[in-house]
Amino acid sequence: MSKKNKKNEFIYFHKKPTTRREFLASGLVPFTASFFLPPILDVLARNGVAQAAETLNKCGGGGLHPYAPFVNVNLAGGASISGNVLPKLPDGSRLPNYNQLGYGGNSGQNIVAEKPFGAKGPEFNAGNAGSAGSGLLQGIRSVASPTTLANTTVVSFCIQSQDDSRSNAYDMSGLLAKAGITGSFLPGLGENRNQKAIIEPPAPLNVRRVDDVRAAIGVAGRLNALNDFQKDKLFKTIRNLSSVQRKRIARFAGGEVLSQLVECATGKNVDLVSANGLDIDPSQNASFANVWNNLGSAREEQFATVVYNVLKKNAGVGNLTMGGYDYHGNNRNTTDGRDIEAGTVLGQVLESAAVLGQPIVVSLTTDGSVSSRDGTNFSSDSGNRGMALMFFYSPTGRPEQINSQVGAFTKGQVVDTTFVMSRPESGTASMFAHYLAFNGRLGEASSIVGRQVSPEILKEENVLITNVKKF
Amino acid sequence: MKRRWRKGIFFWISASTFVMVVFGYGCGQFKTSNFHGGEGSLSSNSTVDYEALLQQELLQKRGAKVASIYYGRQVLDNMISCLSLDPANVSQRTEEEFQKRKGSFSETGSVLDVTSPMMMGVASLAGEVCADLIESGSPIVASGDLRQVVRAIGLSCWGDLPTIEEESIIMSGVDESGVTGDTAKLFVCTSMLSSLAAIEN
Repeated sequence: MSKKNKKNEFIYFHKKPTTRREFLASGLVPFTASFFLPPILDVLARNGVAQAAETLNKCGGGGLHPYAPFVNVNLAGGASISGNVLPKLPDGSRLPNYNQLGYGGNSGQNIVAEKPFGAKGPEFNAGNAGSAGSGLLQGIRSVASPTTLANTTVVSFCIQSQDDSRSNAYDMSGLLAKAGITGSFLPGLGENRNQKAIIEPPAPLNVRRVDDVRAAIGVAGRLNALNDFQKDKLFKTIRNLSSVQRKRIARFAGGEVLSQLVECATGKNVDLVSANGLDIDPSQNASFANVWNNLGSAREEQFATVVYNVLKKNAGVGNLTMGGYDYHGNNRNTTDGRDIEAGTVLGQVLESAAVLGQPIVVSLTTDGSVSSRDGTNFSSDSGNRGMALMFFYSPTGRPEQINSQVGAFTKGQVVDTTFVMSRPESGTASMFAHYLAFNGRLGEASSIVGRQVSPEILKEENVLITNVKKF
Repeated sequence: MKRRWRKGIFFWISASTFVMVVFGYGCGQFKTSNFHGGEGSLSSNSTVDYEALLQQELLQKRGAKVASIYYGRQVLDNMISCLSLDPANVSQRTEEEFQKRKGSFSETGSVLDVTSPMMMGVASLAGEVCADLIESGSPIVASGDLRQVVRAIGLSCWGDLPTIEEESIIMSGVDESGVTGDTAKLFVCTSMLSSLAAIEN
C-alpha cells in the first residue's frame, strides 16, 4: 500500500469512529482533550485565592525595575495640544486648513512649522496667526539642552476625549504597574485625575513636598522615644502580628487579599525603618535641583520630588497635574503663556533624566481640546480635536521611530474616529504599547492588556517606536 | 502488526497530550515573545493583580461580609474611640500627625488602598494616640502587668482577647527591644493599633 493511502488507512479500513472505544483507538479523544482540559498548573493555581497568588510575585517591586521610568503630565481642563503639533491626514499629509485649530487662515501647505525632534518627528507650530509658535516647544527649549532634545523622540496620538472631565480613560498607571514599573520602596507618586485605562492603578502617594516622602518611609514624633533598634522590633512585631491575624478575617470576602496586602506593606516597612540615608531629597543633588530652579516654588518642589524619586526608581509611576488648562474663552496670549509653562515642566522632566543619566518616557495628556472661530483665539470646547503626546528620551541617542502620528485627523480638522485608537482607553493602550516597545518588550503587551482592547492596537505595525531597548 | 501500530499511535498521542497539558500552555503564560530576543520574562518584576484576586474572592465568598479598612478621619476617630480616650486628651501633636499622614490613608475604605506608606502612617498616628492615652492615665494602660494591657487593648480594639500566639508575639517584641515602663506600654499599644485586626473595619 502506498504511503498516501496509509495516511487514510485507519478510516479506510475501519469505518469512521462512532463509539468511545473507536474514538480512543483512533487517538481523537486525547487529542481533543488537549484543547479543553485546562493546564494542570492553572487548575492548581485557581484552587483558592492564596494559591493563585503564588503563581505571581507577591507585592511587586523591592528591587530596581529594569524599565525606563515613566511620568505623566496632565493639563487639567482642556488645552490645545493640536494647536502646538500639526495633526495630519491618514496618509501623513497636512490638512487643507488649520484655522479651527488656531493656526490662522493660511492653507495647510503654507503653515509655518518645524521638526525639532528629528526628520520623522511631528511638526510643531513655528509661528502662525500672530503667535510666536508652539508654546510647548518654547517651554521645553527654555530648560532642556540641545543634546537632550537631540536624544528625544516624540509621537503624537489623535484621540477624541471629553472636555473638562475626569472621565477620560487616560490613566496608564495600572498598566505600567502590572508591567513591573514599581518603586523599590514607594508606590506611584501623585494622583492621575483621569479614569483608569483597563487596569485599576495601585493607590499612589500624594506628594506636595519632600517631607511627604520622608514621612512615608519613617516615623517620628513621640515614637522617637524608641531608638532605631526598638523601632525595628516594633515594626517586626506589627508585621508578625498582622501575619497571624489572617485567621481573624479569613471568612470575610476580601479578607485574604487584605491579609496579603498588609503582610506585604508591613514587611516593606520593616526594611524601611532600618534603612538609613535613603536618597529621596532632590535638593541634595545640586545638578538636579538646578533644573528645578533649586526648588524655588511649591510646585517646583512638588514636581522635583516626584520626578527625582521616579528617576531613582524609589517610586513607580509619577503623575504631575497642572491645573487651569481650560483654554476656551481665553485669549491667545493667555493660552500661549500656559503652553510655555507646561512646556517648561516637560523640559524640566526631560532634562532631569539627562542629568541623572536615565532614560525616561513622558506622556502629555489633557481632557478634550478647543476650537477657534477666528483662527487665533480658542472660543469653544472641542474634544473631537484632541491629541496626546509621548516623549521618549534615551541618554544613548534618539530612539528610532517609524512615523510620528498614531491615528489621524480628517479634512474637517477633527479626529478621524475610524481609527480604533481614537478613543481614550484604546489610545492609552496604544501609548502603553509604545512604552513597552521603547523597552524592547512589545511582545508582552497582549498578556498585560488582555482582551480588553482590539489586538490591532498592539500589533508591531501600529507601534511607531522600534521594538528594541536601546538604553 | 496493525494492532501494535494502533497501540503505538495511541500511546504517542496520549503522551504528547500529557506533555502539552502539563508543561506547554501552563508555563507559556510566563514566557513572552520578543522580536529581538533578550530578556523576555515578565515574572521578575510583575506585580500581583490584587484587583483580580479581590474579584475572585468576592465571588467565592458571596454572601459573606465584605472586608474593608478604616479610611480618612475614621483612622484617627477609631483609635480614639476604641481606647475610650477622652477627646479632650487628644493632643495637638496627634492632630498634626493626622494632618501630615492623611494623604496616605484610604479615601474609600477599599482593601486595595493598603500600601506601605499607609501602614507607616497608621503606626505613626497610633504612636501619638497611644502616647496621649498613657499621659491621660487611662485605666486601659494603668496596669503594671503588660499582659493585662495587651488583653485590655485587644478586647477594646480588636473586639476579642488576643490569642496566645498574638500575646506571645507582642511580649517577645517587648523583651527583645528592651523597652520598659511607659515606653513598653507605648510599644504594646502602637503595635496592636497598627496591626491587621485594628485597621479592618
